[in-house]
Amino acid sequence: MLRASPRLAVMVFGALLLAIVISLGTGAAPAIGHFGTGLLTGTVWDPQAVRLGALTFLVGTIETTALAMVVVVPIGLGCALFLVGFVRPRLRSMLSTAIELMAGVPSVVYGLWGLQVGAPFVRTILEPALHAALGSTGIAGGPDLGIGLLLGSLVLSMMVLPTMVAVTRDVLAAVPDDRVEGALALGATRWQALTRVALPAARTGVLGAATLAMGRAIGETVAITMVIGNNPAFAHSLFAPADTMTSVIASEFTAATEPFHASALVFIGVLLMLVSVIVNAGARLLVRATLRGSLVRQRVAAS
Amino acid sequence: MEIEVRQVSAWFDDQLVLEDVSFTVPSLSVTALIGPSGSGKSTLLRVINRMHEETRGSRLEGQVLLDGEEIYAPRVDPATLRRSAGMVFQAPNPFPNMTILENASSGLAFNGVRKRSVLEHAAERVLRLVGLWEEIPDRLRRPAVGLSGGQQQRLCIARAIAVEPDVLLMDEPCSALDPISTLAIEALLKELSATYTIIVVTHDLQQAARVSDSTVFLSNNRAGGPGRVIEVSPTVKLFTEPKDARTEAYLTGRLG
Repeated sequence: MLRASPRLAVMVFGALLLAIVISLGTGAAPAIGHFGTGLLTGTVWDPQAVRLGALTFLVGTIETTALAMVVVVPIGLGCALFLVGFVRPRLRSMLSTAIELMAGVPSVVYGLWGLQVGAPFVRTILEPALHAALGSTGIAGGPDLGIGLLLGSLVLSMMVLPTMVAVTRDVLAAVPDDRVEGALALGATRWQALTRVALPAARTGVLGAATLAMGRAIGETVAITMVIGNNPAFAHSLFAPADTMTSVIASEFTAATEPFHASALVFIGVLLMLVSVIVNAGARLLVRATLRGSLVRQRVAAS
Repeated sequence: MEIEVRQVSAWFDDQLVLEDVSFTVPSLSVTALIGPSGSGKSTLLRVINRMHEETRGSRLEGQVLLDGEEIYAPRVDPATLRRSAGMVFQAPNPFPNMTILENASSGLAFNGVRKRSVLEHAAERVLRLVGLWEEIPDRLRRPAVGLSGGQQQRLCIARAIAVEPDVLLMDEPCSALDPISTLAIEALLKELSATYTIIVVTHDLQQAARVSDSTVFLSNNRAGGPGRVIEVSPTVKLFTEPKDARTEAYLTGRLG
């Protein structure tokens, strides 16, 4: 009889993962063989001319993700502090449900929202404002299309905000009450108790929450493909249309008939998978360390 | 600072946990708060520095006066009040992200003191007072969580007195400590009673007898019922000739 064994489960899933890596590797092999390291470091993406370098997309993913995190981290942190420190339990659970629903909205809906609402907003309000503030050349230069790097980042930030808020809320709530009360009893305000005691105590977990949100932003595909502008070139400004690793695969794979085109896209997939696995594993370790640490402390205090 | 509790009743949601509690604590004395589990001792302590209201669903009636000033008056800011009525908790709760020095002066930092020299000077004063300055001179800039339980609790006392309160409220400060650490804290308590008005909740009757000038005995008539004041007397008198039969029953182990 087959007994439930954690080791067996780990082996099965490990084998599956390995199978995926091997099959993707096989798919990417022709392009790797033909282009060599140029496949990773090349900046020209021209399937007709059979010149394929993926660096543009790696940079595109880094740029959109970084911009999204700049928006998400402060807002998410603020929301989580507000939920944990200043909202009554009934309202907190209602708001938490709303946040979790936000996380469950299909990606394509965010993409549609980005095109219908986000693009006109960026084109008519945000871009003129940034032109006025930063000048119409340089990072705020370029055409007022609406779609592009900035809109892509904003849509990404909307999509990963629930993750950031929910996980930050949980790690903050896991800080033992007696630490917060200790601060209050010394004459700290609730805000001080949260930001100077609870937040530092949960900082590893907050970092984990941000990394987890980052992992989602890196892997997000449908919405970003709809609003990024699908232009396989470096974005020279915030408003320029660009491409990410995910968006180029999604938009080009079905039409990839030129030699090595499909294979190069598979290579980008391998790259994307590596980055995602590393970021997600790191995030999970951070969050788990924080939650477990708080449980141990509570148990010690109770004993 | 004289503490007067007047007809205080306290609730958690719909449950009445303290009913019509009144007593007065004279300035610069140690008062022990004793009674069976669930008689509302901790709640009563938290009423005196307005920590009770930090618990969700809590409610309160009655008055508490510190030197004649009503602490529940609308113009009183709870954070300001808590600086004059410091609290030491049952389990040591130093701030895990701060060093020992930072913990000791954390109350001042919360109250807006920024200057490093002022903070460190204050930390030195209170750490000397609780005996940690001499005991661990080389570890003062390390995280507080590395200390033993007894040292952590003395650090928490140091932290509480750094903001120069008039009242110290201690909720079973020795219940998580070994006998040696307990004696150290009791000796410290005696010393502090020259400067502070102290109320200490304890389950240890011998400790109450050792450290306190007067004793308040709280009890509930039935399990889960609200706590009431049964007897307030000078400690020696309460322990040798209790006025109330329930006090005697508790002291001799027949109640609670």
